[in-house]
Amino acid sequence: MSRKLVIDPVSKIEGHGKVIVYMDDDNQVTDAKLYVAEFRGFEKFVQGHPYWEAPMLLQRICGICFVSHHLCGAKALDDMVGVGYSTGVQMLPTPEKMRRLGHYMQQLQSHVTAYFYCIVPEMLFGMDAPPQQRNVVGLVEADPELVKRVVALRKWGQEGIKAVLGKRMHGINSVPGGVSQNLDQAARDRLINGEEGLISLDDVIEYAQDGLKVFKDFHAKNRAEVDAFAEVPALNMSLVNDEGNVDYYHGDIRIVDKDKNIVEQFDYHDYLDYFSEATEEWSYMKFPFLKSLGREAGSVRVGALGRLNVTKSYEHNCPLANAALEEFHDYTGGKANDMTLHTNWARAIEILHSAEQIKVLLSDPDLQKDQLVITPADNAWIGEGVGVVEAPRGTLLHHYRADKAGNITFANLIVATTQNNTVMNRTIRSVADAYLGGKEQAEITEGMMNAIEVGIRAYDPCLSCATHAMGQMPLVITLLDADGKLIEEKIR
Amino acid sequence: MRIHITLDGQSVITREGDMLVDVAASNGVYIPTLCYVRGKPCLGTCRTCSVRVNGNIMAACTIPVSDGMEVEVNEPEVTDMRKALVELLFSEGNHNCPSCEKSGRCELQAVGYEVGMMVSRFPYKFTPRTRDYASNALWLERDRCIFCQRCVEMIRDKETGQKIFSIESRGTQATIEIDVELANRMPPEQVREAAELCPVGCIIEKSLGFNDPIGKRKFEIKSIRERALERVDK
Amino acid sequence: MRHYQLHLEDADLISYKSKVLFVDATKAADVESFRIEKMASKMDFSFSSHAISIPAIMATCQQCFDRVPQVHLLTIRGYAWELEQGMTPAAQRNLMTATEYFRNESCASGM
Repeated sequence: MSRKLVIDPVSKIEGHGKVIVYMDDDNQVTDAKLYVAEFRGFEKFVQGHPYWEAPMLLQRICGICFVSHHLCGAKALDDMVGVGYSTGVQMLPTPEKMRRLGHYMQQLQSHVTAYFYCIVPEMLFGMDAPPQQRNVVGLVEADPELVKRVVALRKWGQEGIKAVLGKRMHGINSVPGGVSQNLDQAARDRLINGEEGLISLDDVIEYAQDGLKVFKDFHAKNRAEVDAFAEVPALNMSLVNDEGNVDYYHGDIRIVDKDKNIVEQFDYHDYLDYFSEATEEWSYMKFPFLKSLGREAGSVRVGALGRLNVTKSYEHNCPLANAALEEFHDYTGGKANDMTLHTNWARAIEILHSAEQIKVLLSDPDLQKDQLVITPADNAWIGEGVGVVEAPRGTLLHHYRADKAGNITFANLIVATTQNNTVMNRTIRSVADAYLGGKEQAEITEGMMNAIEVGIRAYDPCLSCATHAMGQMPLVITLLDADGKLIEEKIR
Repeated sequence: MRIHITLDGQSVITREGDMLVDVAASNGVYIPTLCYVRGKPCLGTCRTCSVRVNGNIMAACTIPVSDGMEVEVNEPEVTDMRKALVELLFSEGNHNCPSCEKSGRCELQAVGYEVGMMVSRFPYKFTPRTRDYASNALWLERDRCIFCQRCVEMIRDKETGQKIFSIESRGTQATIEIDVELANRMPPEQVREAAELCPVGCIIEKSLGFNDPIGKRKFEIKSIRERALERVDK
Repeated sequence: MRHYQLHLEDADLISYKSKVLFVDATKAADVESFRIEKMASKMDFSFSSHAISIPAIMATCQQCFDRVPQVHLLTIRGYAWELEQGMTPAAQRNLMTATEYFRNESCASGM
């Protein structure tokens, strides 16, 4: 007879999750599942709206990575009106650079939040420290200077997002074929030089290195534990440019295996030819996988770790991030890095990379130029568009179709957390197995719960935005006794 | 003829026959409006400008002032009544400001802020309304129509003077309709005029949206109250 | 400054001020209409991803910026909390009383 252990809820990730671990009579972990019991339905209710409203509506999916959704949608709109890399009419430099700037601002902001608010306290205090301490407030007492820098960094990031998109949250800048405003000189100078209460760009670059230092110190002291924690296999996926290096805003989709051999590389417009999505009755979240390899072998890892496994290097104009990346690559000697907690290392490198790219963009005079939108002739209308960006959590895809009048008839979103669904479950299974596998008494300890949380949090999942509805909304109601053992479960 | 009226307890000298809503604005008293367009014939459809005149509730855009008139605008009960009217409009249609391209230049949204509305006290009806996008240049996002009839009365075919917009059916069945043939004859500047005349995001130009950045939209630059009060002809 | 929730970043915000008044609604039955209290810093570990207490904000301000402004909290009693409801008449009265009190108080003290 098999048994179930239930852990609920997972704290500190946005949205709610429920974990169920399956065990056999010999106390071996047979499976683990992260349940997603939220449904948002954005794909349905964008239908019937004018196409140009889609990125505005759909960015409301999330209060953290809204810029990614906005830009991903904007890229799909570019396609629809006939502005694209594959067609004759090309995006102008100013709007493309404005969008990239917004995107890096978002990346910086999102990563800084996830990393310093949730992950750094876990590293500094240990994953078994009391929950009250194991967060950014605990950090206030332990390292006020670091917190001060993090607060300053986040504030700068917010001001940057506001300067590009008009608001700190859910701003609007992209329109089909371009943007609605450039960055004026005053706004640029304020971000570069800072002012009272706002740090300068040089400070941003300096503070952005803190994360890496914290990880390296932690790693040096706990190398064996960090490396052994949930080392799980998966393919790695990222957008890449012509040189095969990560491009956070545009490119081909590349998937590599553990030896970094290319398994697939394709134009993201063809994603339906390459990907299938499996559904499970127990989760609203789908399971995408590569058709060519099947569900088990064809699941990919996206996000910071996936990207750094795919890319060979960064642009030459970001020396600090490139040096950090080289060290990261050397650690696994040319193989892909499957160590879940190294996601945090990768995230720290991406913080630095974003900061350096922001610096490059802010010194580009194209941002002050006035040619903001290119509008193709009416006969260029394609009416269908796909946008893909590398969002903080990984590869994000928006796909829309509209009829001749511009009425949205179809929308499909594949968010990063969905791509990571299988690898997250593998992570949980690995952690559960480390704590429970073969033990005489299967017991959910505090330590195991914390470890599972740490494993999930490495992916920084945004569960509510990763869900799709399939059929009737099933409910799982679980009753537990004080020991965490199952008393009763009702399933609709 | 010069006459005296009382406006919220203040004695005001004005000209007989001027519209109450304009007289109030000329004297620094803002009365919110949605269907009214200064200088155009009054429609009196939205009732958002309701005030108390000699003890009775009336729409200020429909009332020519007369000597001795006693007008209460900012009296709590009347203020709340106007707020309720605005709330009703939000309950009846499907107004989703965050993704609406009219946000920041929408008169309904601006008036909502002016009357201090946070949420509607009435249950939202979520009425299913179909969109109309049959004409070449205009889109009717019917979710947002408040039946003010500005477009019906003020936008007409240049050649024949025929109405281009109309309201079909009555009550809860009412819908705003567009004569596609006439609409397709509208010159671009009239298309623009119709979209700008619509106080909400119901009549919108196809393929054009969000072109004004945040912070530079009509009512972000100057509030609807300031705009109403500055056009005074003292 | 209006927030739907307090953030850790508010420690930075208040660090530039000499006097800060936080205003919030309260369910507390012992608050008849409104209450003004002086707040003290205390690292109470109340943080979660969507909430943090005023004393913890103050303590963070002290720890990170070596100073803390004079902070008061004005709580106003409310009675109904569902989204569709506006303010109850009783809460509206409390708000008016508090505003009135505060207006007089700030005139008197020159705040």
